[in-house]
Amino acid sequence: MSEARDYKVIGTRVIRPDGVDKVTGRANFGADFSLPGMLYGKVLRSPHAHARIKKIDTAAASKIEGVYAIATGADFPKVGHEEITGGEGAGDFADLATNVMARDKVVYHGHAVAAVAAISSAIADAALAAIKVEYEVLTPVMDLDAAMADNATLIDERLFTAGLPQKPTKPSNVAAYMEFKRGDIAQGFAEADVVVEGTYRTPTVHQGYIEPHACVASINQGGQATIWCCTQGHFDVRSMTSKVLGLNVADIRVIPSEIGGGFGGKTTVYLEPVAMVLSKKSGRPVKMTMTRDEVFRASGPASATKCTIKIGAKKDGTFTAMSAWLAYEAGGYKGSSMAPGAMCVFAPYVVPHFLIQGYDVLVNKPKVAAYRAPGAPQSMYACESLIDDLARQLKIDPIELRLKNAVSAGSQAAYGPKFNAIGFKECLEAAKKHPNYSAKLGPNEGRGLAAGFWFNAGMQSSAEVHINENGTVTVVEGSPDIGGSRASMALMAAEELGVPYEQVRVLVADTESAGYNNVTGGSRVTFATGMAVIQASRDIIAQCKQRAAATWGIEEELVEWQDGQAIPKPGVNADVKPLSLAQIAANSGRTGGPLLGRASLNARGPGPGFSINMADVRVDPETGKVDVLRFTAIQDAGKAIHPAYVEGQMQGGAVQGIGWALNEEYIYDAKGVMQNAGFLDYRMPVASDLPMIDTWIIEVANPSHPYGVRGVGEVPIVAPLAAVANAVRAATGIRIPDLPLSPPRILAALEAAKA
Amino acid sequence: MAKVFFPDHLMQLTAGVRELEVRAESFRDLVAKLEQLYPGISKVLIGKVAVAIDGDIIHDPFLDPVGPDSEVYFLHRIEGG
Amino acid sequence: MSKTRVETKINGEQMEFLCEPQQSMLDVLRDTLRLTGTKEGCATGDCGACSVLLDSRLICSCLMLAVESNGRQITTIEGISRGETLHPIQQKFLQHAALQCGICTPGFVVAAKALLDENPNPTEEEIRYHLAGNLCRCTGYDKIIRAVQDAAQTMRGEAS
Repeated sequence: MSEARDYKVIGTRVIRPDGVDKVTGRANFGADFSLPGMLYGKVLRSPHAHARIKKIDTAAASKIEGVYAIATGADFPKVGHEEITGGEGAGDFADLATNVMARDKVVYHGHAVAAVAAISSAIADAALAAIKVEYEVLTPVMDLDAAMADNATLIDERLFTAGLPQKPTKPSNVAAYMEFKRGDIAQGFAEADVVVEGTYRTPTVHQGYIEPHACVASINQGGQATIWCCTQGHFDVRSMTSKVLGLNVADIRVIPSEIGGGFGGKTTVYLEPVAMVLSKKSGRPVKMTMTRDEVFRASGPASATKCTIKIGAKKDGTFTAMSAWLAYEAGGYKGSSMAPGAMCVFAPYVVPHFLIQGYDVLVNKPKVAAYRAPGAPQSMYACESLIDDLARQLKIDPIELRLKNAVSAGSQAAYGPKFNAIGFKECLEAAKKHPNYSAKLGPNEGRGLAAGFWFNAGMQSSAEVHINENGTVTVVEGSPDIGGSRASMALMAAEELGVPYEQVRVLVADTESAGYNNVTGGSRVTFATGMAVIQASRDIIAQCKQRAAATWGIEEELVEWQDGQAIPKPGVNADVKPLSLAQIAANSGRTGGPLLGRASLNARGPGPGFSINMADVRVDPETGKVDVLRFTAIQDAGKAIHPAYVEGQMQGGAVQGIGWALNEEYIYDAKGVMQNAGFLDYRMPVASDLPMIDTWIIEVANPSHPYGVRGVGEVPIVAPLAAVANAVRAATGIRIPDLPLSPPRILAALEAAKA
Repeated sequence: MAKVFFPDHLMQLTAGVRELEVRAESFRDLVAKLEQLYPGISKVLIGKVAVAIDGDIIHDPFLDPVGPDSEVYFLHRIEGG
Repeated sequence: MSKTRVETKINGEQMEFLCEPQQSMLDVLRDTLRLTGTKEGCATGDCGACSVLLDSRLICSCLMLAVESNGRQITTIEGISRGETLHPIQQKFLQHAALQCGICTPGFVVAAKALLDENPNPTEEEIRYHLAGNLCRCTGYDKIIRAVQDAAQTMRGEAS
């Protein structure tokens, strides 16, 4: 259904409609909202990574003047087990409820055990200090090896591994097992001329959004509530809060603020249900904001992983067999992104025989949340590193090796279906031609290349298009704008309606003012909500044609819509002047009332995204420090609605991936306490660490979208890990399989190689 | 007849059958036919997994048409970040 | 705790406020004066989202006590544009799509202004080092650096 056409505004680099407010400080983010009479809520967090709660004594705290409410697990209803109908790793509502406020047990350092609301932040702090909690401290289980060991301490004694061929007879920390296979793996390896294998580890990392979680909740004595918060999905905040607290969905209105980054980390709730309980108990609005320390310790980072990959290939590079053993940390509750990690790991390649085994494993760390292409960066880091070593061993150019095995339209993906039009080979061919692929390298410098893949998501969206009395346009939608999506929505409405971009304004409306929308996540907004905007605009055009026909007294089929106006079809013998959108709008009262277009959909066929990244690095042999000299991101966007923001996604994802590869990691002590819960020590890339990030957008139209759009937001973070690691391998001659490739680790490897 | 494929983790529900052919006009119809073959399977296939019909992934399928030559793959649900 | 009375000039306007001695400038700007354009990302001086100018010096307002502003001049993001016109740095951030979520943007605009006021023709490296105290997680910095380069050119009166 993709329609080849010349676009008027699609593909131009217009200024985003919410831009001025964001460069002047006017835009309101999560922590910027306040209400009269508002209290400040704070959370008391567990000082232990794994412990049973014996007793909580709040008597002294409640006597402090200015303390209006104290909440513990006893103030929250018991929530039954029920799967959260989101995507991967969404987990269970019962776990969500106890993650929000612990009941009998804490499963990570920083787990919420009590909360207070007070007249000031300082008094709330004093009250927290006055709450006494008795714990029975248990052994923390801090990594995959410890968690999966036969005699491991159990984090949940009632947890039996789901998905095993034989029902397990005893509980374990492995929450789930999944297997994907095709062909005969033994035969595939037997057919190989070369077999390579490697085991790779990636650390716990955080999305690192700059805006901490924040909300204001106000619930009245009749049970009706309003929540203002920063979230990727206000409809999900509503459903999750309603489940955790046992409230009616219709009684909760969620108003999304601007959101200061999410990357998957703001697709669930932490503070909102707590603020609601405090508001209910105090009878006043309650504001809660996390500190950066709390964000690191008690929101949802991404899984640490251990991945073993094995590849068999013919001398000419043809893959004969691939196997993957993948273990993903879930945190204190089940539900990691192991499944998509397993589904992505071999997705870019054609291979007749494969076996993929995935494990979802509990450890005493915060429950993981989605992080940009959840699961894919870790498993694909492992696979793309091994392919790099294979290319070196076979003396085949890494692009040629990938091209030889690359999927294209009609290939069967390792995760099941056959691909429709995809742009993987186009990305590889572009990489070959890119000047950066042949740029000269100096001593201690190396070049690495890797592929990235993500499914992208469709799901439910709705939109309304209102035509104002002068023909200007208001789009009402319900997908929080994190990266300029209002501009994309306005571009698509302007394109369809044939009006200038500047005449379209976009409102991201709250749960009572817009139709339901799934989260801003899965790279789905420009694709799915965009499709709803296109359809709602087409609804307007149909109404305009009908009204023009009625005005002219001719048949509706004889009217066309062109360049923002209704005209009679060529050859129609009607003595009429074209009617513009503004003219039809001005007369709408006489032709049937206001012009209101709408669309609701469950978007199918999001169109998989592929990328190739190339990194050039210099490794300082004295210090082990890695400098990124050049970075090239090449990605199939299907159709770039606003190319500057597509490039921005590619550049931002590249740099997050560079951080993951080189520096970022949660560092724990033996007791399971994170030692670097701040931006100084959790070292994310800063401007002086980086070069410009070169981008090439490839456009292979997605046949399931009218303009050919694919999601672009997540693919960018998948390839950089291996691209950087492969560059370090090329620069040093040493394969260091564990991330991050921080100076101490590189220095140790260089010294070990010397010895 | 549409070709239907199950991933490994759903084959416990199909007594180990990985693929089969089913005559169906819509996803709902297809699941009803599968329910006759494998009683209880519809509880999982509706609302808990995604599907790809002719390569297009659908998150919450139900009324979606299935063609006579369609390929239908059941998948773990992916939402993304 | 008794409050201290502080007189300061904020964005050119004489202001007075009461604060507790331990309160940060950031808290007073945001909570007392409701100038919420200045953002809190960490409250430990590591992210630069709370950047303001103290007299003409770039500081993290989370690391400054509000009482220290007595008799000084503070410029926040709300004071960068004057009247009807955006500052060239703000213009160029918009034109170059140098923001995605926008939470770090006020800090970057203030920090870039501090740089360009002092050094109207910085190299790319100078811009990168000057802005190294401001974290952005969305853009990878590329478009921010280009926006600042372009703004510098405009402010020097050269056509871009």
